[in-house]
Amino acid sequence: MTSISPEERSPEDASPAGPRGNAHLLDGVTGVDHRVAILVEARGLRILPADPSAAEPQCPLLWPWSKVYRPASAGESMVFAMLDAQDARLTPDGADHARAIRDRATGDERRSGRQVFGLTRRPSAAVAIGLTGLMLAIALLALAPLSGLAARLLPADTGAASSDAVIQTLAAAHRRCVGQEGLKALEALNVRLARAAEINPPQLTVIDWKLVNAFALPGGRVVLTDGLIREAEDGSEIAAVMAHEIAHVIHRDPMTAWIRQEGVSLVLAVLFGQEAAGSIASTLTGSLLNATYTRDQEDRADRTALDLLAATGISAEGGRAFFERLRREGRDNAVGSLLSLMETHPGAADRAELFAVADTGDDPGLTEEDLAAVKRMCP
Amino acid sequence: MRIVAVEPGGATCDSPVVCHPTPRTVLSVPQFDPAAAQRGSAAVPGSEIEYAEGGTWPLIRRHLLNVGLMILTLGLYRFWAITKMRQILWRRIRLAGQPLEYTGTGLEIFLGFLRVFLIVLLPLGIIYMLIELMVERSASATDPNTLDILGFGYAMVILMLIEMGRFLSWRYRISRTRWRGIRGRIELSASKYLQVAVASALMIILSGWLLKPIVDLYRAQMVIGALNLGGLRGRYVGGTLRLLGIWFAIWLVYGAAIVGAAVYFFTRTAFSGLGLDTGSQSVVGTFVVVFLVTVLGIHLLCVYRVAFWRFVSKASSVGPVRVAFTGKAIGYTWLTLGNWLILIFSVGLLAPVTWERKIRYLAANVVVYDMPDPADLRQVGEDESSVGGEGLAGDFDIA
Repeated sequence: MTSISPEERSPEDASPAGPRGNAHLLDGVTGVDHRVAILVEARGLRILPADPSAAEPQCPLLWPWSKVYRPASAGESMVFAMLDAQDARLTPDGADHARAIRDRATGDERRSGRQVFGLTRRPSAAVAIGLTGLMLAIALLALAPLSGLAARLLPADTGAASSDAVIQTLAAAHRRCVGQEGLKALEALNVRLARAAEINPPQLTVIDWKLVNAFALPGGRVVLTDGLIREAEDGSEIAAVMAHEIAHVIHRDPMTAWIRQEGVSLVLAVLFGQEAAGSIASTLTGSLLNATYTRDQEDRADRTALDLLAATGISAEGGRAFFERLRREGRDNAVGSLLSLMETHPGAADRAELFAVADTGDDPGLTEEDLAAVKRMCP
Repeated sequence: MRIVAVEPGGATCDSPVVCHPTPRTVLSVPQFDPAAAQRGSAAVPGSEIEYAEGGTWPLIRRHLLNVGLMILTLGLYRFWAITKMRQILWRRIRLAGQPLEYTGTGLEIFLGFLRVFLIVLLPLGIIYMLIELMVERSASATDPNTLDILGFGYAMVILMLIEMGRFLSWRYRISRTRWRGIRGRIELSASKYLQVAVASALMIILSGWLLKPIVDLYRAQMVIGALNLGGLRGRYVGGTLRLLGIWFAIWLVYGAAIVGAAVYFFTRTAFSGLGLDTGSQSVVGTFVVVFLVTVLGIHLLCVYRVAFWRFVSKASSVGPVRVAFTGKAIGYTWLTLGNWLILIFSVGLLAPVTWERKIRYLAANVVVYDMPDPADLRQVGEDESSVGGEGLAGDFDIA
């Protein structure tokens, strides 16, 4: 019998053979609750069957300290397990015995059971969460280029039906402007710009809405509002806005945004779970991510719009005037810097500056008569 | 309890904890103490499930800590949180005096969730997106029947995934539950259960939920037939048609309640047209009727569930172990409604109270008898499914 060295003994168990005591052992092979005596030895915990008439436990009877651990499943209870016999459970009767074992046990439960990815021990919650968070962050960053690539692979008219449904819904609330003269003038400008971009002309719709706005939708759809047209002081203002929206069509930005939003939703579902994917936290995160991507798209659309204006010889002065007016009227980033993170467009002052320094030509895009006709479109 | 160390000369030391033999003494195996064996294998002291009360506060404290950690980790800690809670709750449940043990880990559930997310949900999501886009491109030319078929297919896939999620969750939890050191397991492959899930989804959708009892009992038959505790095998002898009568009766009663409510609203409308009803009376009346119809609906569902458990427990066994369910529908309704109220008014922070109420209800109403001889209870098979986790259950938050 191996003796315990003096320095390894606890004061209350100062026996040459270490503390001994009654304990229960489930060997993990049968359901029998074995009555055993336990000896604390230098090498490990020795288990001795207490009932000579009973069947012997079928697990190892010497548990080296480096393999003894307290399973998390037992909580605060003084139950011990061994790495080579993970189904076995030993429960000492006395608290002093349990303490003596606990103080010597150095086994790591994370080395038990089947390991993942060939690791020698399971990663802790912190490591697993940290790595996953990192991978999700990379996935979110990769979403922008990937969604753009996917949008380019899809046919140009993808999403047109859905866009038409959106336009119909809008038209139900704000009627369509159908003045033929104005439509003809806008269509001519549309064709001119699209030809410069070497794409099919987008389908143009003007809505009788006081809001100053213009937007592109998937499938090559562009919508202008009457509010924007009425504010325009020059034909080149409308031309600059249309060039900007056509630039979005060229870059498939609306489809890119849709794919990206779906991707962000998927990533957020991993982070927050299905139920909580629409929660405040995920919505906020989604908005921040979308806003960053959108600002880049807007910046690129402005530059492409200038190229289109240059190719058609239309003046960029309208763009400058339009953004300058936006800035003056405080429709730009009047809010603080934190909230500006949520802004989806670059600052109007910067955009005005971009158009101001561009030398694209002198053509107003729409003659004064054409502009008057366009302004009469929504009586 | 005492240790009796025998010295070579036959002298004994009867210290209750530690003996101090002379240096010449060689420690021998302690003698068998018959009193000690009474807590051991010779006899199983009880035959019913019991819930060992450990106080609700430790559970709430752990839950609050879990909620905090989930917020800090943007929700990713939820898998470890579930595990911690299960560990506590499992060991409070005692079967014939011996606690259950939950050996699952948060990492297993997390990896299972990721695996299913990447292998099943992500590809399905992309396929769904592509179908949506294709339909959109030619929406005007698409036959309305095609859209209906697509909608039907989508509903089928969702029902099937939820069903598979439930199954994988049961399978994982059983495989991670031990009693007397012996693992439980469900010997039914996911692919085989997929067939059950498809058939279930089809029957439920096509019958408008009328054949739900057949589906429920068939699933119970499949799962219990594959259930094992070590070498003890599960058995289900009960057929699948027995609950149809009560299910139809429930539909009739609920249908009558809906008709009654409709008649009430119709009469109200007629009276208000004649100026015999005030607005406030109408609002209160509407609220009361809707409330009563809702509570009746919940109660009827509880009636069905209690009937289901009574029947299934009577028809099931694992080895020699038999189970009976003695619960009453009214008690189960109270449990369900009470738990909802607790969750709503505590914004989920008192969820542990609801879990304890459920377990106490089960402990009070489930009777387990004919326990096996522990010597006949043998470990079978390898410890598997560690990487599988709960899979879809984690994805659908139905764990």
